[in-house]
Amino acid sequence: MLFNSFDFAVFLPLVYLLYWTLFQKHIKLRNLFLLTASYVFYGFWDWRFLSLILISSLMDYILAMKIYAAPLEQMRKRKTLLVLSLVLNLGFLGFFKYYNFFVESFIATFTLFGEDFSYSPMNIILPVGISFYTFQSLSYTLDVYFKKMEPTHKLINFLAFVSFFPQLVAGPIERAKKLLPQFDEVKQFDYQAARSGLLFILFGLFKKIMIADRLAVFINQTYGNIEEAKGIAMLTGVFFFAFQLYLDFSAYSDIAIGTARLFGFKLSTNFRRPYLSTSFSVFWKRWHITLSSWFQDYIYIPLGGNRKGMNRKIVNLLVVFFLSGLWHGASWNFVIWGLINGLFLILLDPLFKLEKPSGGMKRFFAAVLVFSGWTLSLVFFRAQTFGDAMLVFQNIGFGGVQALYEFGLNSRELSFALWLIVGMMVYEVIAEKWAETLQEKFYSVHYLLRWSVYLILTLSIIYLGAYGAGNDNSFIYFQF
Amino acid sequence: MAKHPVDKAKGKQNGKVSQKVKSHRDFLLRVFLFSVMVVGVVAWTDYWGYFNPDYTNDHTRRKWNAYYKLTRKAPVDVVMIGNSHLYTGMNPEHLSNALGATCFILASPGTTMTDAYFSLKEAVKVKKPKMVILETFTLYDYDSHELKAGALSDQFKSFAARKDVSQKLASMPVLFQSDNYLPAWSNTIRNHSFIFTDTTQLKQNILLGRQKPPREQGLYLGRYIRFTSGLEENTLKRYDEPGFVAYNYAEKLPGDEAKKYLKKAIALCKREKIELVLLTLPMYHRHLQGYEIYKNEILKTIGDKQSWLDMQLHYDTTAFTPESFENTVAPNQHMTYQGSLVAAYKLAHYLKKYHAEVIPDRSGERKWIELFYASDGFFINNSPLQDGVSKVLMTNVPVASEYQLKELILVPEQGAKQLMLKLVKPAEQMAVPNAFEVLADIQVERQTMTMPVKLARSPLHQPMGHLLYVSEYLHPETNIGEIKTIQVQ
Repeated sequence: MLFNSFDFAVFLPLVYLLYWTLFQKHIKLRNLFLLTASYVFYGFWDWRFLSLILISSLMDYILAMKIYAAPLEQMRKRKTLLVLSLVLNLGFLGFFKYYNFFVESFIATFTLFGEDFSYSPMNIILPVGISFYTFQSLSYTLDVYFKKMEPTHKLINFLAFVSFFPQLVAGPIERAKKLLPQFDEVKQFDYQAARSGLLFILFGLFKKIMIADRLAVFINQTYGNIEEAKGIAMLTGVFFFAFQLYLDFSAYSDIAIGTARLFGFKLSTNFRRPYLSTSFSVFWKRWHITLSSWFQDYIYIPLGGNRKGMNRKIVNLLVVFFLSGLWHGASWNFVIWGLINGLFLILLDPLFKLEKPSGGMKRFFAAVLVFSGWTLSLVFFRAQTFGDAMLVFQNIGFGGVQALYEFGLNSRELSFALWLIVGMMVYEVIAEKWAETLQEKFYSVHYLLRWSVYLILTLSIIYLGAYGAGNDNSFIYFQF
Repeated sequence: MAKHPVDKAKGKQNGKVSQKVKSHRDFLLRVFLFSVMVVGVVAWTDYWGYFNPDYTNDHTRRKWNAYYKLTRKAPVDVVMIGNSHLYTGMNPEHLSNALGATCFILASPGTTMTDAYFSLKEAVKVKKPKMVILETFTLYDYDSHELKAGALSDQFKSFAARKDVSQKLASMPVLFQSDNYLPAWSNTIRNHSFIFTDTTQLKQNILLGRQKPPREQGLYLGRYIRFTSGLEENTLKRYDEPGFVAYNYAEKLPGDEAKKYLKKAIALCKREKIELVLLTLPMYHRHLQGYEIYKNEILKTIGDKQSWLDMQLHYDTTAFTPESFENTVAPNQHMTYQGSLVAAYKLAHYLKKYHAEVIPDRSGERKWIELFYASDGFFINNSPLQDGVSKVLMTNVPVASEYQLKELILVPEQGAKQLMLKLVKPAEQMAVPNAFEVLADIQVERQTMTMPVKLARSPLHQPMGHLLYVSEYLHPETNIGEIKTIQVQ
């Protein structure tokens, strides 16, 4: 079920009303209800894959208890149990997401050495959100293994934690330590939280339907016709994709956070104005924060982080970015994208002294540099093949202005899209300046003004949104 | 006076509890109010039709409006359901004329069998006809929930044109996936992109206010003339190319959904005791292949007992000439005006032969004659503007100082042309002319000459309040310029 679908528009109010009227007072029943709702939410996509979530969750529930029960001196047993959890979780992920990729890569390698294999790829459906819930579930066994938390004995709570519908299919990837205890809390309706939750949802839908989906029309046309998209059209496509990806994914996170708030849950922030970052290291602290921190906590730091010298730090960073690329998709393009970003972080930050730029202009140029590097790296993220990505780079230019309107958006809509991007960036600058107090300031203004803002946002989505027949309205990160 | 600490605590607690209860209710109330405001704004723009498409091209809506209007004042004996193949390939006026019964086409472009079934359901609910004719081009392989772009847009049009809310609600989950429910009901949501793509229409809608459906001039039975000229030499030559096939029926076999709704349509007619006839209108015989395979697939579903006039399988090469078909080698070939006339008379013949007992003969009923007065086919002298085929030469002028000419028109007729004169019936004491002579500039094959054309009184046609005079058949490329004189013979 998509957040921007009619089904969800019916599902959410229904679940909300039942939750607060029938199930609020009984924690067990409430969690069972949330679990059922989450499974229904997921089952709308394909009910068969519910078994996968269930098996994965049950395994981690049992293994975590066994790991915790094993005395510290039985290190071998604890490790075996952890490895079992890793193998099973990553096994599912590997099979559904990477099987064809690994086999094809393996065959390609041997073909280089003159061996000839015939292979037809298996028709494997990628279960939606598998990368997200696998990482969330894994973090639980890892935290229990590292004694960062005790395992829960409440099965329903744990199942609900893994499958909590607001963040099930595209994050934020929550840690058990933060989210699991929230299932034990007595929930009291909080007007402020519910109100801000709705605002998050509305703002997310605005970003998704008004901007990201409009940019998608142009991007799908340019990347779908790379041969024809030359000069400024290709450049615009590349530029637009940076915004589409950010607005699409951050919109999903906003709606997830907002939806969770309606039920009295707090989810982690996933994006913090990444395009205002003045260095690559800052960028990765603001972009897909829950995934970055996952890699930091469970890969980078266990590998030694920056504690074992510069060379080891570089290797560790490259490993993390390699895995991050692979996490995004089973294609070498994603790996290249990950490694490029790793190299930017390793090379460009110290080279341009981006870590601490002083002065307004320096900060501005640093932000432009980081944004440009990121945008160019995304060519590998969006293009289907390495060859396509190279062709995109070849075609980028400043000519062919007349052809700009031949890629799905007419002049009026293209200008509108550009103004929306400008407006969004202005908002980001304001939000950066006022940071946490922005919401407070907003709620302190006269209610008529607030309601006008709500109405304008909603009616803009309805009257000016890019939706309807022919528009692709799915979220980009669903494919991961 | 200061309050007791316990009272203070109670008050605080009470205050807190009551505030919380109020807060949630308040929250829900505000959400509800806000939703009402949003829905209200959308409903308002829907009501004023700001995002309506151009009505003059919305033939499906015209058909449904006309059907509701017609059934209020007269019974509809035969309802024909299908898609563009039907409304371009069948002439309901001529069919009605030939049968002496009222025949109506309720077809919409690109419609599927599923959509046709729901149209049939509503048509039957509005007024039960004696007979339903189902054109088979709606039977192909589709999934209503997966329709995209043009096909989906056609389904929206068909859905929007229907009027019965309960029927629409029942058909909605079958016809559309859930994300299309709102666009199906609201023109604003469906056509909101006008803001970027069709500001002319938007401005026009806003300036005009709420558009009224176009008022039909006289009787409208759902006909739509789209093609008036047939296959040309160049196109015909394409069929000589080795291996050329424009439409392979064997690759267009009806899918499960189409079969399911065909069966449902048959069951509905049976339940309602309505005679059902399947009709296959032809494409040019060299245009296609594999039709037998396609037909057998349908027969497997419905058996061979169903009445079915199949003009494709039993293709009549003398009746259907290249003139009968749209000049195209695109898969979806329609029939021309000429083809639709041939098909109408063939269908009439079939129905008279096999279903005569079902269809009432109203040709002697005054009310029915009034209904059909001046409509195409019944008196031939249809309003020439209806299909753009006929040419009006004169209207409402006195002739020979005694008579009042209603219309003088040049009408294509049976591969030729005819000059027709409609005269206001003279008063009883006046003599009825037997013929008129029209002296005019006549152009044939780039040669113009002034010559007389005799129009004799037609014994076949007796329009109420008028008399009709027709010429001999003229050359099909005849054009008439200046009318010099009109004299009584």
